[in-house]
Amino acid sequence: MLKSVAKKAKWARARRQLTAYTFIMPNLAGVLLFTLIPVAFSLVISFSSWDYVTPISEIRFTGLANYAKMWGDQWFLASLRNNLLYAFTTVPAAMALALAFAYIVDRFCRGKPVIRLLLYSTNIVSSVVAAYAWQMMLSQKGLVHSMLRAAGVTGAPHFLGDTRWAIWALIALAVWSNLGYIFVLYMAGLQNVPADIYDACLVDGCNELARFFRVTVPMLAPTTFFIFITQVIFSFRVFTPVQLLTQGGPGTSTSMLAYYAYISAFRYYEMGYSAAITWVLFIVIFAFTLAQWKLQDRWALY
Amino acid sequence: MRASDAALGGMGGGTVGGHARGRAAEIAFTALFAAIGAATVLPFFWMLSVSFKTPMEIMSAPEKLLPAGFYLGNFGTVLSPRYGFLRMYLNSAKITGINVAGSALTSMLAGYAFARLRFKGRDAIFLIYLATLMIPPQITMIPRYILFDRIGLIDTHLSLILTGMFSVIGVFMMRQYFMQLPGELGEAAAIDGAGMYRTFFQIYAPLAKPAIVTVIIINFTWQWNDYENPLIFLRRQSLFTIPLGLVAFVDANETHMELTAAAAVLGSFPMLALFVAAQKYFVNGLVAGAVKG
Repeated sequence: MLKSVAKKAKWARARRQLTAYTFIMPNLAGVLLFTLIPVAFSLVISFSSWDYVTPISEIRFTGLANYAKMWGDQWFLASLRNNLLYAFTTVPAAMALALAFAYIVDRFCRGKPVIRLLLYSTNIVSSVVAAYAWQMMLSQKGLVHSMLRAAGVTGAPHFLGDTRWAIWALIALAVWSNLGYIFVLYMAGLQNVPADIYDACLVDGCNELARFFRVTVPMLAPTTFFIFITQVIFSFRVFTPVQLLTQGGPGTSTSMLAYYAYISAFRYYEMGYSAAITWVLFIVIFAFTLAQWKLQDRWALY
Repeated sequence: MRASDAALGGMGGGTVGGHARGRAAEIAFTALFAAIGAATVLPFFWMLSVSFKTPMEIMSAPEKLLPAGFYLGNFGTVLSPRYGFLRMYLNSAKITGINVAGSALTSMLAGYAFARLRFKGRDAIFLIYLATLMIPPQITMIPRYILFDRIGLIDTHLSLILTGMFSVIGVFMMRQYFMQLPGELGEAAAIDGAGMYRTFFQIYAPLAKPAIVTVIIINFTWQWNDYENPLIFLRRQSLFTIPLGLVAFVDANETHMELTAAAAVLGSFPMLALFVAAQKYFVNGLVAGAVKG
């Protein structure tokens, strides 16, 4: 009798476990098939030389050859350099502006919803439309050139076609398109700063700058930490503006890792090499994220 | 509104003088940010303006900020059957619709399981989920291409649906939400004899509406605007989604700035309309999730 009760309980537990698995199964199956297994497979082919046309059974493993080859590949080195420059200029610039904007708007401005809507608008359109909008602004017949001419500047470069200017045009585009999103996050963060800290600051005779740097900035450190990490990760993955506006050029002056990986795979059919490049991209992102986690305590200190 | 306004009066020391300065600051900064806001949307405004210009205007006076009139010919050209723009709307709507609904459902179920159910390997699997958030999607680009090529799904919508239905970020967000709901609700239901699915669908799922809206909005934005996946998986123009179709259109009409502008305006319209209609949810959702799709 007792035995059968125990057995029943055990059976019920097993059934509950099984039912629980049915909850995660639809998602897990998809993630497994279309993310986890491809990730593993990508690592495997990154150690091979494969042109896609050869049957995969005849794939040739070359060990670390792809990873070794990169360091003598000027195109790859330029992509890595550009990517680092791009990520570590766009993110701090967009964040600093967004934080200053959020502080001022929150404290001094009327019509906050309208300002928020205008700043955030760049995030609603697709990156394709954003890229074309900039192309039209920056073209020789565009508004920027006509404004420069009106201001008396002659011989302005063709920004997207100039080796020195093109990457800065992409950086400016990124600052413009990410600023609104970061602004919205900082505006939300500001609502959580307790009023009595500001009051205490006031009692201590804080001026406006001290109020901002000694209260707001430290209080928003967790928000800043989160935004910094996610924005850097996203900046390293940049693809669409590069592909649409400059094709990595002129020369290799705006090539970046995701774009170079795409070109290697779908123009030159160097599948192994392309996979290896995406893994380097991952390693860069991972190393950066890890370093930030380690420094996390320092972020929160004030 | 809050403390900041209360503190505003005290700005700069003396209350009366400070108040006047606060007022001046308010006017000056509001004007400044009206200008910054206007500058932010200037590229879109320029695009809209160009889309209303006649080809003649583009030739003769390309730099004029405003069009001479509301010329609609460019929109007519873009919408003419030869470019199949309407088809692309339908393609985008179909893929986005299926993926948003599918990922909301699978994220909800999995997020709930990770938050509220006990099963072997739960924490280990969740850790793997978290780790995949750091993996750049480009890593899976080639293997997915090979996989879909093998099973004959290259150049089908199914390839985009299969990759878009399973959102890891969605699972993460749903889990966070379900974690903060009280567990007693489910226990009470269990005592009343409700099964796991009934407990979920009748008690927890309705409570998770805000999180579901967030997941839907993030996925909608991401799916509707996605360019990289269609670029890799689709070939036939009749299957193109809006972003990919827009690029193809621009490549074919490169010299016609006014047509590019009209196509871009038309392509952005559904997303803009949705945003204006549901702005509150967009902003709340982004802040709650703090994830960019």
